[in-house]
Amino acid sequence: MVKIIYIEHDGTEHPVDVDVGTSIMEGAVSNSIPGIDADCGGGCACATCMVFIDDEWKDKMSSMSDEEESMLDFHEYKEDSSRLGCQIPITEEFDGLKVKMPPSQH
Amino acid sequence: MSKEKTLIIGGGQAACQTATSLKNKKYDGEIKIFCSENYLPYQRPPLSKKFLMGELDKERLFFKPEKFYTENQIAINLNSYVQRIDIENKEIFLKDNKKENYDNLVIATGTIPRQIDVDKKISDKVFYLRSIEDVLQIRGKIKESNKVTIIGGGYIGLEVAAIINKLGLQVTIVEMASRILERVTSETISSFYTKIHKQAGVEVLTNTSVEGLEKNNKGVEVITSNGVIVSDFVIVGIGVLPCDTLALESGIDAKNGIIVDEFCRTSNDYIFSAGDCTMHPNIFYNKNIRLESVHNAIEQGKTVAASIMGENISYNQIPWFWSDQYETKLQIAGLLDNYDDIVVRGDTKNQSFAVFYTKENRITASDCVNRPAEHMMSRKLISEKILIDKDRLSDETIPIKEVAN
Ligand SMILES: Cc1cc2nc3c(=O)[nH]c(=O)nc-3n(C[C@H](O)[C@H](O)[C@H](O)COP(=O)(O)OP(=O)(O)OC[C@H]3O[C@@H](n4cnc5c(N)ncnc54)[C@H](O)[C@@H]3O)c2cc1C
Ligand code: FES
Repeated sequence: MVKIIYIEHDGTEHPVDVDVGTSIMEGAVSNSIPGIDADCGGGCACATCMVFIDDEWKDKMSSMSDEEESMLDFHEYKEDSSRLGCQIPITEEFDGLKVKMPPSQH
Repeated sequence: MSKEKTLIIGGGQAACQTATSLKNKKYDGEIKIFCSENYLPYQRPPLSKKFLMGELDKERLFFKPEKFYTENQIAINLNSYVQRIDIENKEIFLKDNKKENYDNLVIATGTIPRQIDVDKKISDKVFYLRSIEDVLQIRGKIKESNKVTIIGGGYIGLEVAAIINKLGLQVTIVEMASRILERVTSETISSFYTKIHKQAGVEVLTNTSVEGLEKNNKGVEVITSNGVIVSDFVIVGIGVLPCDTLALESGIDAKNGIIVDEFCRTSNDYIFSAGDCTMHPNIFYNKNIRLESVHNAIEQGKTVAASIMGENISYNQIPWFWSDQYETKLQIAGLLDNYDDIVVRGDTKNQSFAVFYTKENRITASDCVNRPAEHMMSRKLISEKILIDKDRLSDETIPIKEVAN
């Protein structure tokens, strides 16, 4: 278990414990955190699980596939710090990670 | 005064979305879900993908953990098959004559696999794939088998074929039509998938109908119009039927699905319906359709919640769907109903290309193989009905985002 802080667009913080090995998307969904839809359930097919990750954490994460990059490119709120939450498996190193969420996923 | 009460029949994607959306909209009535299955609401797509492969635990299929329902006061009744609806008195009936009254009722009963006739003697060797339970049984069977026949070359059959092939079994697909996926896609896509299945070592028999199944000391003999195939077991994937009998018998309009309008309202003022079981209007294609897709179940779930809240938000969506086979992700947008031309972007010899279906120079549907950008772009082009130049569309030197400029 590591602690991850999910931050809604309005600034509301949700610190939760999540299992190593699951994804950033699953961590949010299983803790009923609003702001991530995850329509395709982690299939990298819907781009409704977008999150923003600060630079300092990016290096600790698996790199982005072309597939993920293309899907993100069509997200209305895409920024440089965008990732698809379902494509990032949680590791021990993520303890204390802050994950910000867009105003909407559609 | 007692609180308003919404009952939901079914506990799949559409049911879970309806309940979640009602909560998001701060619905303050009671919500109760009745589902005939014995698991918390779960996603089905991985059943023929990672879950069949054994790469995903059962718990990771659940949309929400149990505490979500308790914290949000959504009462989940599992193993609760609803037998009858009394629309006059606004009540539903469960087994043992237990009943429950409602103010609003949502029917989200999904579909069941179309069955084939089989003799009792071999019914333990014939499987369908719709539920967690089905997959657990199939996984057990895979462990003790070498050869399987899959009846039906639709998306589910093909996904299952790919996984079982990866698990090392010999797989034969038997398809009655002249090509696999005939009902749902073009010749171009059918031949691409035929090729990759054959390359992987799967036998694909088209124009072959199944005439019977017989017990054999090794397993099952599948008797076809093209000879006998001996297998350890058989998986049948020949389409689904909407679970609309409950509605029909209760006096709600249904014909090949529960008939709803763009607000997901049925013919009864207090009853709504969402998901695979509905026959609903699609304004982009100007016809009534039934869809078997996650996206439709989610969007109709949201529409029902809005209707219950008295918001008039109509469902208007471009259908989309996906299918994973081997190393390919196929993403499908739109409805393949009538098109006058096909434009291919990329080379179908590679595992990365997009097929656009056009009518009068507008895209009406697309099939994209390992081309997520093309898929996302086509959803936009379809919904905005944008005129396109087909030469630009197929020209890979022009980025997909700029083809319509
Ligand atoms: C193997 C498989 C793979 C799939 N892959 C994809 C994919 O890749 N992409 C995609 O978009 N879609 C896919 N789908 C389709 C998708 O899963 C469905 O569209 C979606 O599950 C529909 O949700 P639903 O809530 O309408 O119905 P369901 O999920 O079928 O849920 C209906 C529930 O209602 C219950 N029920 C029925 N009658 C009663 C009753 N009288 N009383 C109580 N309960 C009742 C049923 O037991 C069931 O649990 C797949 C489906 C399967 C089976
Ligand atoms: S959940 Fe669909 S892309 Fe992440």
